[in-house]
Amino acid sequence: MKVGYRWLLDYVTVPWGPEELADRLTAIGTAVDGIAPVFERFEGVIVARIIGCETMPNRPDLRILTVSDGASQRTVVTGAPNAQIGLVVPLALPGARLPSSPDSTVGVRAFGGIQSEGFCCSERDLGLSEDHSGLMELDSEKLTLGRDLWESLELDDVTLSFELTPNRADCLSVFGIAREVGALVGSRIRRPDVHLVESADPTDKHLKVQIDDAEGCPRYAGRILRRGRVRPSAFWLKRRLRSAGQRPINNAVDITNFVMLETGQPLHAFDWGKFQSGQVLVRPSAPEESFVTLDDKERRLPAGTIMITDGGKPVAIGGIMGGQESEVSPETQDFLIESAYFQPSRIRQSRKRLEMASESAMRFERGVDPNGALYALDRAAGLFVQLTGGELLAGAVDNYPAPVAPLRIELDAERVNRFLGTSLSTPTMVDLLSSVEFGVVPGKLAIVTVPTFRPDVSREPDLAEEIARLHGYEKIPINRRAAGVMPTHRLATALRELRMRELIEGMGFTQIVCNSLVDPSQRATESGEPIMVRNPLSTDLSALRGDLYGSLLTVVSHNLNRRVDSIAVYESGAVYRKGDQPSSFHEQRQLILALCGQAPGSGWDQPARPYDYFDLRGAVTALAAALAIPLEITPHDGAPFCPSEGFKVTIRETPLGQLGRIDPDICRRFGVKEKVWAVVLDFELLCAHSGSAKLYVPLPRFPALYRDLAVVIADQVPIGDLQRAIRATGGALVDTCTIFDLYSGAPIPSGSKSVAFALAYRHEDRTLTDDEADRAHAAIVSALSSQFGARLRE
Amino acid sequence: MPNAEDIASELRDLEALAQREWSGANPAERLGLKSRYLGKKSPLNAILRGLKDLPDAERRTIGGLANETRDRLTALFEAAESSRASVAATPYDYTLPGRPHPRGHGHILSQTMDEVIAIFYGMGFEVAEGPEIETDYYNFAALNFPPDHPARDMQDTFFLNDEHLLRTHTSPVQIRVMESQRPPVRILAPGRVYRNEAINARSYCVFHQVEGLYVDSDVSFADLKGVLVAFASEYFGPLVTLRFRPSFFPFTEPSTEVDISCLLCRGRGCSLCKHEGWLEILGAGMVHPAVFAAVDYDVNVFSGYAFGMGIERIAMLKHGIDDIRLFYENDLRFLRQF
Repeated sequence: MKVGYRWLLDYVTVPWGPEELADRLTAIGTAVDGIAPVFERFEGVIVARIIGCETMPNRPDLRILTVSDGASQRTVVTGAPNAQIGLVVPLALPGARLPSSPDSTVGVRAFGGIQSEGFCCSERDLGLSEDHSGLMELDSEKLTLGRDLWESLELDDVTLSFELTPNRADCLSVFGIAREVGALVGSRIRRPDVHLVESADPTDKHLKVQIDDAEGCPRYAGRILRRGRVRPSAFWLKRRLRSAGQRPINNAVDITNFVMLETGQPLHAFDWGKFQSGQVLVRPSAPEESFVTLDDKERRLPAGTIMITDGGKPVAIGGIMGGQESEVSPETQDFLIESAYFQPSRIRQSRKRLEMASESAMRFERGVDPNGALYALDRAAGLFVQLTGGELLAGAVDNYPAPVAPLRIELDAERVNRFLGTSLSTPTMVDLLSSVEFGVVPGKLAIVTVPTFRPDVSREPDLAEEIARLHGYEKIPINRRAAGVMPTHRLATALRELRMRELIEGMGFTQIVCNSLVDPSQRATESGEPIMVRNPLSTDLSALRGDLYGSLLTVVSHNLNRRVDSIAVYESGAVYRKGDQPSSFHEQRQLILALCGQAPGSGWDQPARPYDYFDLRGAVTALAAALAIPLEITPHDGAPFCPSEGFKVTIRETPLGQLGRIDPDICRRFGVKEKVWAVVLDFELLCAHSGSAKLYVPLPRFPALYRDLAVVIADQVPIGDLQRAIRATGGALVDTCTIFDLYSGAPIPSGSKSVAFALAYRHEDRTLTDDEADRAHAAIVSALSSQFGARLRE
Repeated sequence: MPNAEDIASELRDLEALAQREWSGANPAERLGLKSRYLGKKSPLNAILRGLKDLPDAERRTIGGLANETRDRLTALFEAAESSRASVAATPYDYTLPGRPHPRGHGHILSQTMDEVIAIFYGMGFEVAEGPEIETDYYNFAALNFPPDHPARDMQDTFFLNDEHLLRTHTSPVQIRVMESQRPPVRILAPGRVYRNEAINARSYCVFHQVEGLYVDSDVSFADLKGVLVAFASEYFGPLVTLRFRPSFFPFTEPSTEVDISCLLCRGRGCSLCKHEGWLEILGAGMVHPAVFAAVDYDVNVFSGYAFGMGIERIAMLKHGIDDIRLFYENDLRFLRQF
């Protein structure tokens, strides 16, 4: 909503300039988000009268004018067709600066030997409108010759742009904004009085209004004006429209727009001559009905659209847009002015289905004052008489079978104070509410009458809001009391996620947060049918991700392309799948850790090396240890991992996730040529298994005995199997068993490898003897020999 | 067989010689001295080994002397080993970078979220969560967005089907919590939300929100102001001032938008605050009676407030991040800055 500052001054006295007014309005919830000049500044243009007018010899298209500024006379040349003696026009003097050429000034120019001392201006020359058909004709009665035109026309106006919330339908008018200003100033607004000059011929003799859709159209009022003339509007009207951001068209259209902006009541002017009978019939649209709107588009009408017809053919989509056929044209003489009230949700439904927008629909959708229709109609009718010169028939036809009564609400001042945390007196509350035209009957419980232009106010909290905003939010105390003791539980999963994040970051992984909307044609795995967004922003953001791999690879690719060569990242995020039932959905939290590129070395004594399986396995093992979860990693051929480098992660036989090197074909689809190692774990399952408190294990009370063991075994024997055998054989005596060397090459025969373990033997309850340790050690050696063909290395 | 007197004198000579040689030796030579005087083949060790051949009385005397000599020499050598002089010449280039201990970084959004949660946790709010794929009922209808109401245009929505949508705010969690529990309720609902808005430096189709809700008997607008002022001064620092502007949200009445004084210019006006001196950080208000009706709370007994803020927004303001897309691009050079 845009309103000219000077337009507001027509209805209310404003003691502040535009900037201060904007701040004050914003503070009471009528937010101003912009102030801009209505017109571009011009200088050096005065009011002048044409007192001589001759056609130039040899140039029939030009005329030599003598113009007077009241004191002296000048000669100017013009090509304007409307130049004639007596006309009062703008005269740009030499040295004048005009918006049409802001970088140069008007000079003295010669036309066929005649010196033109400046020139007379069209509205376009002055940046006042697009009209360049002739000289701007000024009101000779109101303006003084020789005076500066910029000041005389009060063009130093600004437009205030309001950022209105959808509840404030009442502020979609200059009256509404003026009312808010009035509340700030402490005065009521001055609505223009309407005195109509009517003919003796009554309207209802010529116009019948029948409503066959009372739910959609509770009120329809109209007036008829005959023998009016369509022409450009007077400048004062154009100026007002411009200050509200509207483009003037002609007097008939401009009047309906002006009154809509002024009162908030949308109006429509029809060419009454196009109506076949003297009837308006309001009805719901018929099935398959279509209609050509005044923007020249044929529209298929959705069911439930409110149609205005002449009894036969439709003439307008009620409350949304008029029809092309009945549109006011330059030839129109007889007018029907419509002022109606349409039901908000019906307008919204139709407008959405028609994919249309109009100033009228925007207002009806938010709620227009049903009781304001007649004032607006009469206001427009008065202007029609004044500006088109037509004859207004007597009285309005007003079909309003069930008038809307203002709502009455009880107001408990004490309760409102408790609710707001204020201590306002009842008279203060009454004054605040009265300032925006609420009626109040004071009492223990005050009775508040809500004006019908405030459909947003229906209960006591709504009144509390009015009181709070008009009193000023900044004056409400800041209460620092601590309310009631309540134990606070942190959500277990949130707490564990935090802990897990700290652990993972501690291991050098950086967290990524990815968009969950992805390109359905770019999927890393075929994880079920993707969930599609019905109205996506674009196809590459049209599905919810079914796995975390695609997001990850996108991030890896982005970073590799920017020469980030060491990538250790993780994401804890949701994946989305369709459920078993139709239109049921499943969101699952997953955790992904990934490595790609170079493991960071010192750069001077530790060479960089590519990340590999063991970097990732180490991280997973450390995470499992920190969470006290026994994880198993076993080979598994599953997408999106390479068949030979894929593994599954289980916890006590329950699948927890997958680990491995991502299939290079998939990586390539995301533009990644490097090896990517990743592990994906079910986050909630991980949390479920990590919840229990860790139990204390007593520290050893007796010393351990240390033995090393180096064996040579066939290459294909997994060392994990050896470790399991060592523990199985040594039983409780084996305290720790760590690998301290792994070697192949001479002198180890090819096809074999040498592995060395450091073993610690310990007895829980007594000091172990050398003999016992040696016996256990020997048993292990022979077990490895018999089970794996291991030979002791010399 | 050496007599005791000779041994005692040899011990004294040994000690005197060791002390003399020690004081004249350089650090490298000193390493040799230690093994020469105290090692297995040292004369002192020979004396100690020979003690068992001495008669009882002399063994005690000489043994004592020999042990004292050994202790004094050990003390001499060890004190010198850890002395400043002995380490002075260790050769390395202290300007070389250290060996890396790679540190991961929490995403700045997580860090911001954690900080916000921690502040409200300290004020007695507990975390509650809900699904991102929501129904029209929880996202709109129960929050007093009637069907075909213009308020629905305030939040451009991604729909999955006629009933399901991607939540546009975490406010549905309010409803889910209030449906399952009676007042007092004091929760914080963090999470991911979606808006069908064009992507540019200021807006992204996904972002994070934290919604707060407190319902009890006699909760007032003044309490709401108190908790938000406390939050802002914790998160943005004590110099920040707040401005409460009347606004509109369907699920609160009265509603307010809250601005903080500009962090850069402290309210004087600059390009960050578009010369207004204020930065909008959150929306809030008193829970609307229609919302209480939806969860069957008695409006005559209970009142409450709710507030919601965008995590990206406050992180951008606090850290001077000028493009929201940076959060979702996951450029490690960006992420490692925090």
